[in-house]
Amino acid sequence: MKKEKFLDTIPPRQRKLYSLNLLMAQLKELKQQHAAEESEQDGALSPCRSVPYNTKLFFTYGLYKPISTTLNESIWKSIEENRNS
Amino acid sequence: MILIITNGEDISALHVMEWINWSKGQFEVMKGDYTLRNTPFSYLLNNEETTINLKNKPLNKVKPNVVFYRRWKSKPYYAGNHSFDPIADNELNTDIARHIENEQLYSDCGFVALLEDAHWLGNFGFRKSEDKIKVLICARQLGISIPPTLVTTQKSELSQFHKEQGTLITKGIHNVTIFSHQDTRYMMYTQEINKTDIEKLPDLFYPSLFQKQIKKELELRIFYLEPEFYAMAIFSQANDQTAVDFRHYDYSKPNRKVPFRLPDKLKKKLKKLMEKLSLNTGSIDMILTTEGKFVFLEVNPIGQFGMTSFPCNYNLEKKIAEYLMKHDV
Amino acid sequence: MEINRREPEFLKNYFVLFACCIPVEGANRSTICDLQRDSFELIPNVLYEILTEHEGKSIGELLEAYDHAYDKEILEYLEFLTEKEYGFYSEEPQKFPKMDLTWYNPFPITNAIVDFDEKSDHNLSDIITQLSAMYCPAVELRFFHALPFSQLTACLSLFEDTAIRGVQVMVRYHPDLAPEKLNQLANENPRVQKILIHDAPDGVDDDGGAGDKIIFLHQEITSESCCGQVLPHYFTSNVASFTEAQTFNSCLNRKIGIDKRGEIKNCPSMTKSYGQIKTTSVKAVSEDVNFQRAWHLRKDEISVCKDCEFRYICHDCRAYVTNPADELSKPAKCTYDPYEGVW
Repeated sequence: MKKEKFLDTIPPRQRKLYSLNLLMAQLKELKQQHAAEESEQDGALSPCRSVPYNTKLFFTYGLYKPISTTLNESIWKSIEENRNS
Repeated sequence: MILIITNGEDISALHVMEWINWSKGQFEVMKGDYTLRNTPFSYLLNNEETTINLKNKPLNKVKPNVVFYRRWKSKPYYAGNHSFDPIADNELNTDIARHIENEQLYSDCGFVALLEDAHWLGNFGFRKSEDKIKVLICARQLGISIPPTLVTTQKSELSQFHKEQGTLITKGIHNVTIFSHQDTRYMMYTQEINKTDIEKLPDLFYPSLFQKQIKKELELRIFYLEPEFYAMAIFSQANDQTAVDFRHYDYSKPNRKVPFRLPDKLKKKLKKLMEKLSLNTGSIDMILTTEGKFVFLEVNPIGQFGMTSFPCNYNLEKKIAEYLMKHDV
Repeated sequence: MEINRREPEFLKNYFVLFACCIPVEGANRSTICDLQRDSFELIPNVLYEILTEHEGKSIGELLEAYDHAYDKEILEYLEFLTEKEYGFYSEEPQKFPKMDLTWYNPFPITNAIVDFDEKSDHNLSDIITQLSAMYCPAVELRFFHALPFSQLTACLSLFEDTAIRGVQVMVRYHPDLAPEKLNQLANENPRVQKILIHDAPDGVDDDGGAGDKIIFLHQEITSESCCGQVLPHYFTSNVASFTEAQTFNSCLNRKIGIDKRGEIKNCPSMTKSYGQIKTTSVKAVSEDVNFQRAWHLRKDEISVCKDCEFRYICHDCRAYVTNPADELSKPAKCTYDPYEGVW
């Protein structure tokens, strides 16, 4: 993650052109949600939309619990082994 | 009909729409930043009548009884570059930007004026008076404690303030801005200021806001939907990464967020504050200090209330939908 | 915070659990369900007693209640809970109300399972249209037979523009289902949360080209009878699932199942059908009072489960139960014994 103070990118002579909160801002990458909001503002229209809500936010919609429980203990074990290998 | 005005992707508004669907209410979404792109709007005023067109369909047939105002455009449309290069001569760009922004703002104001008869949840006018200092003055008048605040352009004054108050923070006098740099997007946070930072500054600098950093026991996020407050305590101090601004989110061990009971006396004062600011909804940020004192920081007229609603199971989205439905008559 | 336990000032404090950390008592041991971090902590029943029966007592009063016979142990317990961030010390516990445990959800149907095998002839497009009209947010498709890539893509494209926002797929391996192709499909379709390919030969995705959303399984999922597993892997400790389980069945509430023959059921594994999808609307079934009866079978009423410390974070199963004559008997595939505390 890139992390720097905006202040350090401005030559001292020009620092008075900027307010302090901007100079002191620590630049940080935004998480997925903000990125989605931003790309929306850029006007890029993805073909994937949920029309009834006029949205293309999907990552909020994992159900909060499993829909079905089809995998038994031994399957879970092999999934975990694969993950670790 | 309920008209929801927002922009971009707005999760909180989305959840409200889900609840309006549940109650079989009627809504239209208008996304302010799409107006040039996929939600064209126009209005026609003549001596006989007014026509508002949304997505090329006239709105008059089902006139909105309620407007849920979230936000409008976050960026002006102008094509000019926001350059991070301070050497570039930006005067022309700035003038063009300001003009275009005002044209847009007043076209929006006209739209709002045409919907004046509707009941509004959320206040469009507040956008212009989104004025942290004014809000602090209002709060102080009502006997709500505020942090010592200095707006200055001078290093010497800042040093003196630092000597008197100890550790300081700086934040926007207006608002937090999300801005892009190269391929990455960045955000400003409330930032701690120390002596070394101050030493790096020129004698004179751009007007900036400083506040004494309040030692906090808890951070409070208080959602207001008239006439109720829904308060949440954030235990952020336990975790260094979030001690200054809890938006520096620690994903492995999120801060504890739990329901909080506000003292009645404080509730009364906050209610007066919201009335004074003509806000029927909004999020208030406060701090409970280590000495047990409540200190007011700011009020956010829109806010993603999901961050208060879900951890506390307040179901604010449902309550807002019910509020809107109640006024849709 | 430095805490000197010997100071009388400290004894005036109260121990408060964070509202999102909720103790649940079992027959042999208890849990603290952490609804914010999707986890739980096993605790002895005596600690459950301290946290619930003696709630509202200051620490001094609490030690007094046990005649000061266990001061050291009790203080250690509280210290443990504080360190693990399940609770905190406060002079003003009344400032921290409990969370309202009522479950609210804006969707008439929150999830649906649609099954297919090679003999199925129900129309997925029609089902999706119906579910979307009911604002159903999450759907799982289970194919017990193999599908070539083009057919899988065609199925997923049916979700475009709909109100459905999350799709999970389970499908039998087909040589056409290459990891990279599936990865691209999942990435291009933001609705897709997971694609599980069963009966896959070993080493199909050894280089991991399929990405996080795609799982290849060696084992096969032959039919709906594989479902109904009750395992800690399926525990969910969050506000929505915990509150739902207080009043409703943690599996069947607001669920629609359409089995491989197109029968509309509470879940494809149940025997009772409420109509054929070709002739009956999903909406009509979902509004049927008899259909909704299963939604209300709470863990608190189910034999054995009602004494289990995991009852509000565990996924129930009403299709496969130990005594088919008793609709409230324990899930057949659960091997946990809450009276002994062993799996």
